[in-house]
Amino acid sequence: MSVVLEGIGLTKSYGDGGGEVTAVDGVDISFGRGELVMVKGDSGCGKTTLISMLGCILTPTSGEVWLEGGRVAFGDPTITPRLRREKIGFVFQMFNLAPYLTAAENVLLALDIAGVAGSEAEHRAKELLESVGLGHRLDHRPAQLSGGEKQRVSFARALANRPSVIFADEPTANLDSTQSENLLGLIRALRDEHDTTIVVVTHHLGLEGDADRVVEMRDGKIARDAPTDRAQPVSVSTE
Amino acid sequence: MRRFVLKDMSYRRTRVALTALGIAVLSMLILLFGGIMHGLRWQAQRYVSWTGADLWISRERSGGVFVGFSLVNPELVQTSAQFIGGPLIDREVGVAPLVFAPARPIIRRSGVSTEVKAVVVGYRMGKLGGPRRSDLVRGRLFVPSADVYSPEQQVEMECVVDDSMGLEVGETVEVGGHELKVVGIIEDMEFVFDTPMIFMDVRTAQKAVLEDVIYVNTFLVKAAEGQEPSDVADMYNDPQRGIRRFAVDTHTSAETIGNIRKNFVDEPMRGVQFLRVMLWLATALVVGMITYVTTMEKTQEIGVMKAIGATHGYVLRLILWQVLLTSVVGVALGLGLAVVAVPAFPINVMLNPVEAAVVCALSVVVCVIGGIFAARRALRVDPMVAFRGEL
Repeated sequence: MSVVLEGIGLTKSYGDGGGEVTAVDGVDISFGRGELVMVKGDSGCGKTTLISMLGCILTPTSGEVWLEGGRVAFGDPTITPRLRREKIGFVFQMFNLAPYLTAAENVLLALDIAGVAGSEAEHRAKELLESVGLGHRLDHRPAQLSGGEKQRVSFARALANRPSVIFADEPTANLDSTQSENLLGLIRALRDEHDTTIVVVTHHLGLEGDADRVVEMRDGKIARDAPTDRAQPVSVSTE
Repeated sequence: MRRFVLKDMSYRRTRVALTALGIAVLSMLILLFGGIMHGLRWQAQRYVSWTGADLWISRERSGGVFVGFSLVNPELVQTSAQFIGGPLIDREVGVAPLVFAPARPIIRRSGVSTEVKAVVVGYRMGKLGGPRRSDLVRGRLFVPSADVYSPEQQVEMECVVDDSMGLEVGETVEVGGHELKVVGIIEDMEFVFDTPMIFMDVRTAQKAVLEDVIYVNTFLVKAAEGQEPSDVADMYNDPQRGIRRFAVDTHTSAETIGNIRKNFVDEPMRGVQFLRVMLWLATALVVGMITYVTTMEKTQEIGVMKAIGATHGYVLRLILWQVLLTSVVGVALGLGLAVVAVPAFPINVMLNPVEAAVVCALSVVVCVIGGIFAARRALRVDPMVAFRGEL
């Protein structure tokens, strides 16, 4: 399994002087292609800050992010949006779907941002929503969908640009236990169907058995990074 | 992208409709103010152009009969002007005397006297300055007096009035203490500020508004066919051979119209022009404020779009398309309202199609500029907000 994403010495500090707070402190981490990684830890331990830096949304105070063999130039304001548009997908805790758009249109919006339009986009949106089991809900607005269905639309939206990595931030936090189990089933299926690395920040222990790796964070550092029984060896590219 | 723009606008339709309505009302006012000024400018040139005169001779430094006080001795000026003009002036019309005086005529009906505003115009029938038979919509022209002035001369107190005065043939109107019989009606002959015109023989006008003196207010000159009015003016203005020695000035019709517009329209209407600019600023402010509030409300949504890769340009285009569509609808509605309001307006309002098009285009530009200022707020949205809240 080749390395698709790597963070080296990632640090993020807020404030300065005596009031400085370090949310993430010198983290080294890498992810293999197609790997399903569970990131867990207490609230405020730096999970979301870490995936924000790895997802090219947040500029690290120090350290580097390498994506598909290239170093991310955080200083260039055109680079990070392009990387997010082309190589990274996001699933948010609160779904964050546009309320005035249908399920299909929410996926189409991501495709439009990525520069895909017309019948090709329509076809892909339909295909993606069918793959997350929402082929019958294409024209429903978020208000007409259950929490689990909304999160499925979010996954379909995250997959729109055929990303190398998907970051899911507490995707089950607003779902009941049945919806959570169904969503975890979807994540497993997506991991098996797509050659996409999925990094899930969650407290839900139900995923632990299916993940390739479990990363536990504490006080901005990685306290434990252990492969599970499912893990495959990661090979580091020399290019 | 337009699909998402339209969906968003449809979702916030009440706000979009109210914004468009606000733009419509402000655009309508801007258009109507323009229409008022255009109407005044049209009235300012209407009479002067209609006379067909090329030159206007008036008291020196009076600014012309329409804007200053001008009294001219016809015995000296008319003969000299005809003699000096010679073959350069029209043989038939030549030099025509004119009395032009603002008045407050009184109309009596059913025992009620009403004072109205009007302009009294005294001219020689068959010469320049007043209607011909073919210009009348009803009635006849007045009986002309003798060409040679005599204080004892019998003068027919008859007049032709503009139909906006509401008088009919056979009725009377009091001008300067004299009862004049209305014998004919003419249409669309109003001076600036919708002031109706009363036409009569020059002798009748002298009697009614000039205390029966020999003087007139101005002379109208028609250049002979093929002659340039400016050449005739140069000859009249020659210090040695011209008619300036009789203490008169000569203005072309274009200069006369320019003087009327400057005096009656452009200078008094400066406040209205200022108000128009203020209305444009108000339009930009309305659009800017609503766009700003909408952008603030959409912070989370903009953050999510940025998180999934939308550029600043994409987000700005999304907002500005909405501003543009709302503005175009608002301005178009404003134009429609203005067209509907024109006939109901108590004063003469004329919408000039070219000016209206320019005003509409400018209004849309102003709205978009207001939107751009407000939409800049979106550029500062941190995509990290996508992790913090919900849409």
